[in-house]
Amino acid sequence: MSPRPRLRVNPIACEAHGLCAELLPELIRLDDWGYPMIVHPEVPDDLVGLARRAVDVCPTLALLLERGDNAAGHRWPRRPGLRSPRRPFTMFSPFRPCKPPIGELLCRYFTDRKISMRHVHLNIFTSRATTVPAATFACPEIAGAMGLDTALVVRCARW
Amino acid sequence: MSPAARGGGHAGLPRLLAGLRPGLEALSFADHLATHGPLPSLEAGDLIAAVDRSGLRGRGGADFPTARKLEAVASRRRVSAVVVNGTETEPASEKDALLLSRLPHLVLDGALLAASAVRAPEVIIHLRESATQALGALEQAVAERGREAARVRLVPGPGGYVSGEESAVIHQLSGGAPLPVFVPPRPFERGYRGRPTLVQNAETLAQLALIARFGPHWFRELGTDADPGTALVTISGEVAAPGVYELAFGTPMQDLIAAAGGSTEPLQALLVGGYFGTWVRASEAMALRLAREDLRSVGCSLGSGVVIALGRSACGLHESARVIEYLAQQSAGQCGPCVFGLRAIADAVGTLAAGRGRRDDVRRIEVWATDIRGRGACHHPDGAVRFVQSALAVFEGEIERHRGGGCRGAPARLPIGEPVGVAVAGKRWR
Repeated sequence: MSPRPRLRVNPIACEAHGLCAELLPELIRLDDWGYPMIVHPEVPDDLVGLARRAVDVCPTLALLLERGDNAAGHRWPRRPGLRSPRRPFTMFSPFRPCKPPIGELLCRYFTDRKISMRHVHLNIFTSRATTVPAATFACPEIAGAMGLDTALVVRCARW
Repeated sequence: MSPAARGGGHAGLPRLLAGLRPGLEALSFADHLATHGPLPSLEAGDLIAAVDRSGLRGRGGADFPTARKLEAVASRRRVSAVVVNGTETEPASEKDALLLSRLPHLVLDGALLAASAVRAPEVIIHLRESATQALGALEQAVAERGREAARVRLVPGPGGYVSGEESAVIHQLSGGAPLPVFVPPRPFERGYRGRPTLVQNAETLAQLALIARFGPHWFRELGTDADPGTALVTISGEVAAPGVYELAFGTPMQDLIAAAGGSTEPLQALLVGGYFGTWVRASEAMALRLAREDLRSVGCSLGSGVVIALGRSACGLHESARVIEYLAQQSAGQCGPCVFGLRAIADAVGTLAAGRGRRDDVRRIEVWATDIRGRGACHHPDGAVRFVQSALAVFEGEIERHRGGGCRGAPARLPIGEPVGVAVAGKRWR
């Protein structure tokens, strides 16, 4: 029987948004300052799907789901070659409700800077520019937690 | 000048400190070879086996079996790196400063031996840029090594309490801040320039250099079965002759204090392991020996070999409040539980020391302590929390006294901030 997946927080990346505790109150509790305590790191079968959602929804990618046998190698989300924590390119952070709609702003932001929408041009974290595919998705949980109408997260698969 | 010569020392001592010159000059390469003999060349497997049989454990504070660390790096079968950790950020510790500034060749021997054992082309010596004496002595010593000099680099750093942590050292050498990073991967997997890196305390490498020469059986002639060999201990506080002493494991704590000239006044407590360590009542401590199990029975660990003797005329609560305030300020500031938790704990202990404590302050500190343990990227909050918990236990009476409005209110004793280093007037070295 393969070991249970385990939840872990990267405490350096964590900024106490608290979304993980919202989604997984059975496994995660917040301390006096809003930071997550994994009270039950091993994830039971019926909560694995929710755990993956919690990992996806963390604005700073601080929540990790690891397979017990090889913590460094098998993580959700997959980040090969990562050595030290980097912030994901959540460009519109903090998110603000706005007119015109976020999508239009996103386009304008990227076009102004001559960045193609299909690939996010990363020259912030490395000395060499790297193009990686980017996923953009609307995140109602973040929007709700921040009291906004809409929140868009631009997440890079690799950096 | 050696303890054995003064009488009361054990036969076979000193080992690391043999050949130590009076004054502040470093032992030259020629004199170093005359004192210890030539450096043998050993097969990597033989060296690691010898270190394994000797039972050597790291002297930087983590107490990790050295042979396992060597094996972990060597077994990756890739180009690796060796980093000598000479940062020594504990304010009351001076043993590494002593080794690096006056016995640099012993540390260099150990580092170069370890480098051949793990197939590392490069040795990096990392220390605080304020350790000018050690930097000068090391530059000189490296130059004296001739061809080997090309393999050794000195890289000073800005310092800070957490900058000596393994991942912080690597982070700094890779061009980052002197702050810990999230692990895994640990340095032995991916460290300096992505290579498997052996990060070892300066004293550990010095011990290794002697094991390579004289063998594991010789090493085990001193100490106990469980804790073989000797350790450098920085003894300070209310003792007549504060300084760095080389002692065999198993030495009774009474003898440890006696070696430092005895206490200058009746003692109330010892701080064992520095600010990453814990308090123990003097009465309990004096019944123990310098051994892992003895110390563990009172919740202590030798750590980086720091022992501070607190006299009855001092106030343990005031001293502890100053230390936890320092530890809170020295947080890397990266992890919420550490930043906020240590701040809250330090403020609460300060309130207790000022006599304004409420009845449930101690309980709140205990709850925070339990909450933040293990939730930082490094073990800084864990050490700080352990320190505070030991202070609350050992100085329980003092807390009550403060609440009642009384306190001896002695001037501060414990050193706060960067270690002053070897060139301090009045300190003697054995």
